[in-house]
Amino acid sequence: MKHFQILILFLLPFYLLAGCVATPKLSPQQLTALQTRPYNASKTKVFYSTMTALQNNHYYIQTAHINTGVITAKSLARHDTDQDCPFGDTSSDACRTVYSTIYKQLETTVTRNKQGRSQLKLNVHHVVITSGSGNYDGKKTTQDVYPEDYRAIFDDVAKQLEEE
Amino acid sequence: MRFYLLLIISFSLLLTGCGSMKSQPKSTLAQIQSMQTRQFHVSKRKLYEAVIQVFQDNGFVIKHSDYETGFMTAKGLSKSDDYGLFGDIVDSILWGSAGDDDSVHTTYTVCSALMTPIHANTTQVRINCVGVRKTSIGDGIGETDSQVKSPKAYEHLFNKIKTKLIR
Repeated sequence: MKHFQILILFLLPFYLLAGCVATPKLSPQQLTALQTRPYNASKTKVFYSTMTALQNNHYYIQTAHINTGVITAKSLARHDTDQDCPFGDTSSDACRTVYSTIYKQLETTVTRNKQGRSQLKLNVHHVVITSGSGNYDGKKTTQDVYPEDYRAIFDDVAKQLEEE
Repeated sequence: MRFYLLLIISFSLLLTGCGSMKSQPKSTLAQIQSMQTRQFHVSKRKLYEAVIQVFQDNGFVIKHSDYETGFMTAKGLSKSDDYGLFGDIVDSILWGSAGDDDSVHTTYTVCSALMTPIHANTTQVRINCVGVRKTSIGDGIGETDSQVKSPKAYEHLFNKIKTKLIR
């Protein structure tokens, strides 16, 4: 019994923290399912609800065209500094400071699907722009998928549509 | 008994970690949305033209404009000795006084405006402004954006729009 209790206490943190970690690599079908949501509302209503939802989620809208249904937006950028030291020795004079600007770039499209419902597709890219003395200048764009990025906006769009 | 106590403590500690990832409370969001939104008893066309003029009068450059969507974006002047009224308002709110280190800051404001007709002669506008601060230190450069959450900044723009519509 004692061993069983110790085992539960040991496994519990891993079990609970699993919910806090981003999901592993998804198949193209899983990715499409995560990025897409249909709504029972007109394309125009979904389009404007998406604009409101993006602003509510701290995105700055860069372009929006009702005819094409395309909206591009950028999240608020934050600035980080980090030390790059040879062999991890922070006391070394050879340490260099690396500056990073981190933000999310988002593109959405609102279309009509085969069933005649409006369909919203989101695509979120995580952007890191680094600079510093040495060869640090660079821009890295990744499409790491964090379901929370998508869920928060989809749910807010649904909420905006309900409130109308 | 001790086992169950440990179990409850473990749960509480771990869930606290997950809870800290949550975003801002909803009341703040409603307040922000309210301060950014105004209704005017004019057509969409009239309001659209007034908003463009107000942005331009305040030193903004229109970067994107689509009348059919009712949406535009504009970029304010970058910080200089002669920064203009709106830039000064936003700058003092977001960043305070000038930096005291070796870094050089370039600050400017970007705003978007979305106009949606409510009735035949009533149009709603939501203006959303973000302060951008670019910092360069030595060979490095970084950007920090901050949403303008002060009613004073939005009130300034809405008053200008109101004046423009009366003329």
